[in-house]
Amino acid sequence: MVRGVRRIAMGAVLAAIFLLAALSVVGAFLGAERAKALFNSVPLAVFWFLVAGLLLAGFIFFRNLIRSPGLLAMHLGPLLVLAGAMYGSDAGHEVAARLLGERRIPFGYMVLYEEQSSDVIFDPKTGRPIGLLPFEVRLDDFRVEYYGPWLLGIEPPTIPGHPMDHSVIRVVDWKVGEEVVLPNTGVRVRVLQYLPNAEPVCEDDGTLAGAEPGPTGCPPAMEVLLAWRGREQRAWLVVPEGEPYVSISMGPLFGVPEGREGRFAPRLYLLEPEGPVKDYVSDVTVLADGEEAARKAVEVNHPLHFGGYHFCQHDYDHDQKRYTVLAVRSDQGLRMVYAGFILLVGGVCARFWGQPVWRQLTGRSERGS
Amino acid sequence: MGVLVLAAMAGYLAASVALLLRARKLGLGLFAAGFVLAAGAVVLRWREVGHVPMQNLFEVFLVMGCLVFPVSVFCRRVLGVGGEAADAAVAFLVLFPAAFVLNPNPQQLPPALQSALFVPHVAAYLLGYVILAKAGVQAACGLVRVPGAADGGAVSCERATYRMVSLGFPLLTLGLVLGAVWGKLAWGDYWNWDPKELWSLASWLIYLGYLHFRGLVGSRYRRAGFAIVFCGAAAMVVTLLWVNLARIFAGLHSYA
Repeated sequence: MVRGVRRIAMGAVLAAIFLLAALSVVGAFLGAERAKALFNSVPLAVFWFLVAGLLLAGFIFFRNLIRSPGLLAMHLGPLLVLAGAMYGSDAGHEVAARLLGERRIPFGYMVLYEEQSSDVIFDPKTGRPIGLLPFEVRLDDFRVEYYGPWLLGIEPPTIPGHPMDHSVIRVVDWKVGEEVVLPNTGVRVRVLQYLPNAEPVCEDDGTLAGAEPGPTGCPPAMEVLLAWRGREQRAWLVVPEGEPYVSISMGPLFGVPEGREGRFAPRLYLLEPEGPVKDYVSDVTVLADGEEAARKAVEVNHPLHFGGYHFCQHDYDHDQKRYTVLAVRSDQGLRMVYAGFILLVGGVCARFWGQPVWRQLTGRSERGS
Repeated sequence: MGVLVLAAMAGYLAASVALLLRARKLGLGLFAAGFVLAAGAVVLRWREVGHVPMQNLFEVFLVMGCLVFPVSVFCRRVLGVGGEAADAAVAFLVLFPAAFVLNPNPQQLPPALQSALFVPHVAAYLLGYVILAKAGVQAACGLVRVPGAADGGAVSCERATYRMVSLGFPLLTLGLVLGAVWGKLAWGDYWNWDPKELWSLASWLIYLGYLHFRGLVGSRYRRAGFAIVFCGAAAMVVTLLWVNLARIFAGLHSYA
């Protein structure tokens, strides 16, 4: 009879595995949103409990699963993953709130503006507030880093009677130490030095004198030497914090009186690149009861973990870079899932890699292998 | 680099033909030469892009084309599984899209891929795919009952298939778990129901089903076992190719 029950159990296991594989394929065609809805639906919830039941039944009817450490681990692992995933689901959060009084927001987004703090979580689908965190998060600084260096460009002087048009800035290729001729002007510019991260250096009276290398995250600076018809102008382009460009007038080079450069003298620009983004970083501070409780430079792959939540860099203001968007997810059930992962991987490696090596070393062979 | 890839393909094709004609030493020598050329292409690409070349499909197929030879040697010497002629043919086929179809333009790593888990996750999958592709070839030979399909190896098709799946399944498991952990760090959740994730899960489940099936029936019903492994290999091909290229499967993993 036990043998018959084992066969039925194994048959049910095989059916469950292949059914789940088929459902995964169906889910792939449905897309992420609808797949999530499918796998969290009531029929699938029953299926998940059935799978958990089969795993538990396996420990009862197949003694090998308990005697062999590898087999035990690789069957206990998925059970823990399943339990952790259920506990961490939206339904699991509701159950925990009712039974344990722990009320957490499963998932949402935070929109943070620089130098402002917030505790509001927004629904990712509707954009409406869905809850408040028990602490606040303040965005101290947000920056985007690009792969390429900043761009050097020239903006011609305005035509009298016409407004300035920044869209006519022409970008030139540059290299440190090499001379480039700026278009439409005949001006030669040599880049003397480029500091990808720079801090401004000021005179005693506060006027800008130049720049020096600064920590990562600071905007860049460039020192240039302009030459035109025997005249030279040496200048620094130091990008202010949080700004997408800086410009200087070439009026001194052309002998244009101060105050009239806008109409008669071109401007040299150091512009933010438009190429691939290397990184985007949100420097945040967590405020609990009005006091600083944690600080973190949140980047993709480097989330903030605080108060039972993970805060991940999700998106940002692509136009003016004034705000950042953090994905906020509750950690409920996560430790159980990770423990399950460790057992699953350890068990599988022990069973399929470790055991054959062990048998080889001890001179025993496995039937049918 | 393009020349290296084409030369590697030529080496693999010649190796496959030589091994089919039973010129074993010549065939293995050509196979090894193809591997050296493919490895050279990988190194050149690595230097060109400045990071481990596993970001897009071109680089993925290039690396897989390089992995086939060492996997073949390991399987022959350690597991007693032969089939080098088929392995060389697979290596040729794997490099074909890299040489003629896929976009070779180098790309910078986007923020999501700048992680210590990038290399282990992708490498586990690529190595697992190569091993399980060999299992799929063994299974296919078993299904069509190719005489001498074990190609002078020490074991039968059925045992060869089981040994290959036993070797590759932990790598699929590791790739799946590392991907989940990485997803938590990058996107905030260890499972996002992305099409790539679901197809990867389906592939893993098919091999899991095979292992349970074999545990239940042993080496009886071999053809059913072969069919399951072959389906697993087909699911892997879909996961690797169709999911990345077809627009109906747009998702978080669209880096091709």
